[in-house]
Amino acid sequence: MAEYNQCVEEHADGVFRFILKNIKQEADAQDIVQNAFEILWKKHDEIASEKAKSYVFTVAHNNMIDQLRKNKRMDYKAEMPEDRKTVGNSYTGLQEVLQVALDRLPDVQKQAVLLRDYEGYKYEEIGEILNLSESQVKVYIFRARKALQQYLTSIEHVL
Amino acid sequence: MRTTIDINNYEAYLLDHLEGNLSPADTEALMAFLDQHPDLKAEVEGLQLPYLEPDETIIYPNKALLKKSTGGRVVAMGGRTRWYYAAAAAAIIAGVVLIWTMLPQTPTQQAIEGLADQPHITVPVDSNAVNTEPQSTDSEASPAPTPQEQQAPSLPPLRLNQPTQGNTEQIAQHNDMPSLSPLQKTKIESVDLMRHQFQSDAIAVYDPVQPREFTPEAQPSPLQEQGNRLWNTILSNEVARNFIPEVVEEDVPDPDQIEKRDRDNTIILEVPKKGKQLLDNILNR
Repeated sequence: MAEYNQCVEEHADGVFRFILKNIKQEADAQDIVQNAFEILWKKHDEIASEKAKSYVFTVAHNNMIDQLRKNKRMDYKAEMPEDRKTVGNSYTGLQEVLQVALDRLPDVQKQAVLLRDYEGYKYEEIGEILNLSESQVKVYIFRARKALQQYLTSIEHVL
Repeated sequence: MRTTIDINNYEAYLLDHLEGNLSPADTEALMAFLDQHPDLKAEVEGLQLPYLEPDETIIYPNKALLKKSTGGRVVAMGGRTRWYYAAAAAAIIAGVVLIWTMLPQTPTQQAIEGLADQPHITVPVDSNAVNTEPQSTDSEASPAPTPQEQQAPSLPPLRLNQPTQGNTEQIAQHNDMPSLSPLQKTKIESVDLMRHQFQSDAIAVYDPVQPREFTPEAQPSPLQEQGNRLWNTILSNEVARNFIPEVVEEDVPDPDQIEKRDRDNTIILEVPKKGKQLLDNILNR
């Protein structure tokens, strides 16, 4: 009970941030987070406390993938670049540009780099959450960073 | 451990190298690979990979609702659904309150009020009476108290045929109960009310609503008479027996009748055979 509540306290924001950055719909993101913690609660006796964070992220990620697929089927407009907005950030300068660039990445690259930079997960843990090998995760993250860097360079050229 | 570095995995090694996590042996292998691929080498030379900072402004809004408490399961409601649940709950509560206030008095309530006027029915508050009262009677008549109710000071049971001497003072004490919080008082009063209800139910015998034969007025019109007979037939279950579903051949419209209707331009009321027979039986009785 106490461990579960501590997990909520420490990680609810992180999971929500991760999901919202990917899904863009605040209400959907809240539902996904709530659902993930409900499932954690049901299984909290079986899951070791040090694994709880990964478990919540994994459940939320799977749920989000379903939601993203559904959204893609339902609303093609959401895929148009002009409809992609960054949500809730208050960055200026480099980080603001990076957030815009992040939205241009393929979903899996974005998810991997978010888990690494936002949550500080090890590559192996990211692989467990995203159901990828460690090597795949590194490749995706490398490509994501390279794309972000290229975007920054192109912006600099424009400015 | 020496691994072959190729076009499919060199990025993973490159990432480790740029983050300073590559072993000397693997670094050597990576450099050898890049030497063989000058295009890739040019691409990665001077590469500075950017890192993101977490967006701390994004915070889950209902963290408290996700948490669980020992006093029962907290049903977390988030996102859009919570409004539906809240609205539905509010509507149900409002509806129940409205119906409750509009309901006429039930026989039970009337019985209770009638009994309350009787002089031998009193609400004793003599604490000595509690100890002398056999516990079995009390537990039969009142609902089992919850643990929370057990914490509150126990109250004397409602009893019948109790002398009324000295009760006024005791009732005053009962109502004051300075040591109790308003919530405890309300709980005790609720339990008292339930007790009263249970005991009244035990002694008040009232008729449940029985189906009664419709009594016609003094001089019913022929139409009313037919209605009465139909009503009584329904009550005597004849209709119910006759309408027990069974496999019947579906009625096909009579071609002659259709022609006749077309010819006369009149509407013929088509009554199913079984229903018509039944109606005839009733009306010709």
